[in-house]
Amino acid sequence: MKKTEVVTENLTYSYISEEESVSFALNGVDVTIGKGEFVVILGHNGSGKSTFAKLLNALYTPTDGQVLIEGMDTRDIEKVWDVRKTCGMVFQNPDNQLVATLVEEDVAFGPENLGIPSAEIVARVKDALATVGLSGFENRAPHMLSGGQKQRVAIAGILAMLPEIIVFDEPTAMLDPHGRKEVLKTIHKLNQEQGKTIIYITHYIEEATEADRILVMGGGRIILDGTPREVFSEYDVLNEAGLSVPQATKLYYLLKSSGIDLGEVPVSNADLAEELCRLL
Amino acid sequence: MSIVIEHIGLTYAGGTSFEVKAVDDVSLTIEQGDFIGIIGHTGSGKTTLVQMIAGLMKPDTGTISVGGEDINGRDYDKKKLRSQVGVVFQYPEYQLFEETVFLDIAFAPKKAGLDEAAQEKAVRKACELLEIDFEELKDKSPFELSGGQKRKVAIAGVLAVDPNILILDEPVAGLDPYGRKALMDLITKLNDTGKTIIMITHSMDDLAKYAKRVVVLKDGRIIRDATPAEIFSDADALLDMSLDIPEASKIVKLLNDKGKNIPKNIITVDGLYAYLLERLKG
Repeated sequence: MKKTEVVTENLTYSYISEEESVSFALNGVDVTIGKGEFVVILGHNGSGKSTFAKLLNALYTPTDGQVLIEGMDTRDIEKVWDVRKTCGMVFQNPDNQLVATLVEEDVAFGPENLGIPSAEIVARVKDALATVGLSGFENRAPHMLSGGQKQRVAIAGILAMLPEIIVFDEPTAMLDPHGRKEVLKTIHKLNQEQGKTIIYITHYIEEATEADRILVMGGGRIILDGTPREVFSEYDVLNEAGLSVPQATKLYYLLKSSGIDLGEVPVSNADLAEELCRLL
Repeated sequence: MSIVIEHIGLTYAGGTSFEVKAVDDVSLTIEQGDFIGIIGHTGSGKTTLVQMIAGLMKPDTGTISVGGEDINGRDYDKKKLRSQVGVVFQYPEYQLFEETVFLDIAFAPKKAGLDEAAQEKAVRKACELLEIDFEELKDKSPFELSGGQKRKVAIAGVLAVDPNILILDEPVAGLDPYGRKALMDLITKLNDTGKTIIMITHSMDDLAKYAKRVVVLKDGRIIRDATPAEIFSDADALLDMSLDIPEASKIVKLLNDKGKNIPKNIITVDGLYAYLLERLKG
């Protein structure tokens, strides 16, 4: 059994809307995420997924219920910095996250603010840039880099704080397909080689196929929780949640509705092609 | 009204060591009612090309004419172009600026010189097209809206002058699947009413499904110009340029790698479904 890293209990976040009524962005979310898991959170705009992310590293605090990060309650003001050090966050727009004029200074920003000795910072920056495949970029200007590279600089900046958990809030939404691939590859590497716990928010369902687990959010609640195959089996629930299934899965269901059964629900194009090859 | 582009070129930072030929000797004719997708790697010149068509940048060489008139000609009134060519930039919601949704959408009609009654009519019509609840939203600040609504309002602002030609730069980027489909359906609907659509996108599935023609740019030049089926049949050429291909084409490629002989011009899941049904049951 892996050590439990993120626990939410009855996690609720509400706000007073313009009409003075209470709106719930999150409404009683109970979830436990273990160390080293790669969890994808899917949901349409307004499903509460970004609110959930911001609650994980104490950018928001719950209006009801609680979030525990390695046992630390995010409402505990004394623990805020430890929570943020343990649970780093990468946002959608790389341009909003870069703060310095040189890549190495940008990556050093986090650890500098944690008061880490400079020799150690130098080592951390070097390691972090190597991990995201940007060694040699130390003295480049971040704004001259491609979108994918900028996003990897932002990831390196988080890595330099040595977090156990990293939350990604739609990190590829503003990137071209090439940038999207390089960022996704980097994130999988962090999970596989360094054992980081990854919480990855997206509405690109294709990016969820390689996750250990998918949580589907809708109306401020978790409506599905399972492996990609289990989740993609819930075609109707996904549709109702305003999400699509991967095209391979859609084709599987179309064929099934016409009496051609390909066995288990495919998660990837390769799965589907393999089953089809048996019939063709 | 057709767009005729002849041998245009544009160089950034000419004469310096940063010199880049963003667009290099491009010729292209786009007929009224066409739906044309422009694809290419980041930096291939897509955005520069459409900004020149919109008259926002001037080519160093060559000519662009819209409806038979040279848009960079000395006597040409650019105001005319503004009501003929609408441009939806990337993340158009960042361009909202007015105090209310009504004022934001009414901005272009007002600039075009319409009186108040005509402005309101134009705003109502644009709202109707985009399924924006006019009465509910007209007095709200555009900044209070959700991301998807903001984008709709921004696009309504472009459609309010009823342009014949609509240029869209990555219109569905960042939208969720539902928002994406709704916007693509709208764009198709506008095309069905005869508007010309010029769309830059990385979403090959959208082009496979909706476009009539696809232009591939590389290093500022047009390297292919054909129907989506023809373009995506040559999956390897696109993959070599690190461009994506439609999901259906990926499945077809996997099957053909195993020698299953699937026609390469099948580029949509619906098309592949129909083919497989015929082959497996027929």
